[in-house]
Amino acid sequence: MSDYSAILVTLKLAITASFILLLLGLPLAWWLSRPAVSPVKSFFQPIVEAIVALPLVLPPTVLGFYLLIAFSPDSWLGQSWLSVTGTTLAFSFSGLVIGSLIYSLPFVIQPLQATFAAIPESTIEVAKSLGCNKVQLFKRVILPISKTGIISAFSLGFAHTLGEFGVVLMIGGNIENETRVVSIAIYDHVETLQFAQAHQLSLILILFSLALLTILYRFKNNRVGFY
Amino acid sequence: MLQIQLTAQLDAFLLSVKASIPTNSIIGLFGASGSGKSLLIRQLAGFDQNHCQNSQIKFDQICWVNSEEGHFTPVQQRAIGYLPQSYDLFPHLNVNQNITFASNNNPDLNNKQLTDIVITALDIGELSKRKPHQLSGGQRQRVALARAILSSSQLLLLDEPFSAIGEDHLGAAMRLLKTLKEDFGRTIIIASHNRIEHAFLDDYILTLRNGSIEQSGNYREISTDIEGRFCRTSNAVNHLVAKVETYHQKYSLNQLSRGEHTLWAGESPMKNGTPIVLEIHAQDISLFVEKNTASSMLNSLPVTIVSYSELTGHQLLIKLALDDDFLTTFITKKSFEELGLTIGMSLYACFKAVSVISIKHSSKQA
Repeated sequence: MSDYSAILVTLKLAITASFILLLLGLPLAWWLSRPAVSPVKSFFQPIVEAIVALPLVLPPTVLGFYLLIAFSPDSWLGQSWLSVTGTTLAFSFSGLVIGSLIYSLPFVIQPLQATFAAIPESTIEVAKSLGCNKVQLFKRVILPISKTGIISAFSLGFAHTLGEFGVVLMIGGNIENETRVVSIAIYDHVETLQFAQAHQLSLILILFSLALLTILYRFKNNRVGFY
Repeated sequence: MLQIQLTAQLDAFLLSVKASIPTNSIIGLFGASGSGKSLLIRQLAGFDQNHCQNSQIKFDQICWVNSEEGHFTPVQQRAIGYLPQSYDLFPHLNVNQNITFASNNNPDLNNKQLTDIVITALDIGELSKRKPHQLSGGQRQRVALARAILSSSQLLLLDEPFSAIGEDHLGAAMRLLKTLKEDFGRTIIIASHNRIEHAFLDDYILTLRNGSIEQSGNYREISTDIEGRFCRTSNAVNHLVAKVETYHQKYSLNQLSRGEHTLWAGESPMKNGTPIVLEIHAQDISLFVEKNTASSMLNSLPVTIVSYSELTGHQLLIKLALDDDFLTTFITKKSFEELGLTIGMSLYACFKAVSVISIKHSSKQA
């Protein structure tokens, strides 16, 4: 029964985090993908790119450690969250979502950035010459051309959040129906020598991730890109 | 009028152009690669805003750019049609969706009559459901040209619009641009390094060199100015207007008339009375001091020498008056001296019927 709730929490976490990441990621990746024309942008662009890529190289425990400090009621983040919502961030589902946002950030931003960067500047110019304002440009040209990239960014963010462990361990703990995700549940089962259950959950995670990635790559190979 | 006063610094390249061009005409931009043709088109479209300084652009009294007052009309508000050399068809849309793209943003552009004319002239009706990656290079260019035409109510900016279009479609595509000017009031600016395209289309021509205007004026003046760059080339061509008289079945030749003179040209039979433009390469014309009746050259026109200019070490470029028109040809300095040619002298300009290319249904110079 607790395994079932772990699966639910994991799915809820992955869906929430990847949706929010997509919303934040679209404008950020667009900004990163366009060549810098101003010196201010050419100064900040590589810094932002490095920050986005940081979760790829850091041990999740480092992220988790700093997040834990930031979530504590003594910090400004933990304090303002407490005063607005009346709850603490550490060891809560919301805290896990914030952790996942950072942890999976590069997995969403990088495919989006690559997709956007593949759109030639001249295509954007032509769209403008055909009367597109900014909103029409995104709605009628950039988003439809990037459809495949957007779907793969979402799926990668989703899949990566499914496998999150270290950060959750540091900031989420192991609260059933709240922060107990599949990876933690598996760890628990192994610690208590319940190998059969560990097998079961691991297999579910493997099959699910495999199915997701297969669909993703099938989709990617059928893409209609620039000729 | 399209009034341009433009200074734009793009990396190491300085584009500096000052011109006043009549609207509702076809304007050719001529110049070698890297002379600034594409950059000028981009500036008129409204790209590279950051690079333009001390500039003013006015289209029919509407101010597009005034850098002193900090005014800059963005491209989407200029009512232009823009065809870049990269075509940039939208890969997610089929041909029909691509060419009607602009009218979805601005329903005023929805013009069924014009759309039909463009689709027919560019022969893209059969392609309407195809995606860009299913098209050949020439087909892509025709579709992109159609899209640009259907996106503008005033000014068309076309960068090398015929570079990939095959011979089968070239005539119709060029005639379409004339129709747009004559029946739909468009102003069309065409960048091309192909003299033949300019010869057929242009009312007005600007020649560019290193980002500055070298020559500007009516096509007829520029194309017969033997001191100017446009004319000074071994590929120089002449254009004469004539009228079809009869078609001689036996020889497969058209008998044409130009004033009191008779001319002969090959090609397919044409209807009597059709006005046509003949294209004669300068190097195909020979000069005779006396009328020579025993020659295989069927065409012989009385001309007088207007001026001449040295083209290369051994070659002279000669400008000849034919009634109120001009022809250019090359001869060697040796022939010039041996024949004792001088300005004002009367001669016969002769050329073979097989060297004449006729361009049908043109109103140019007619």
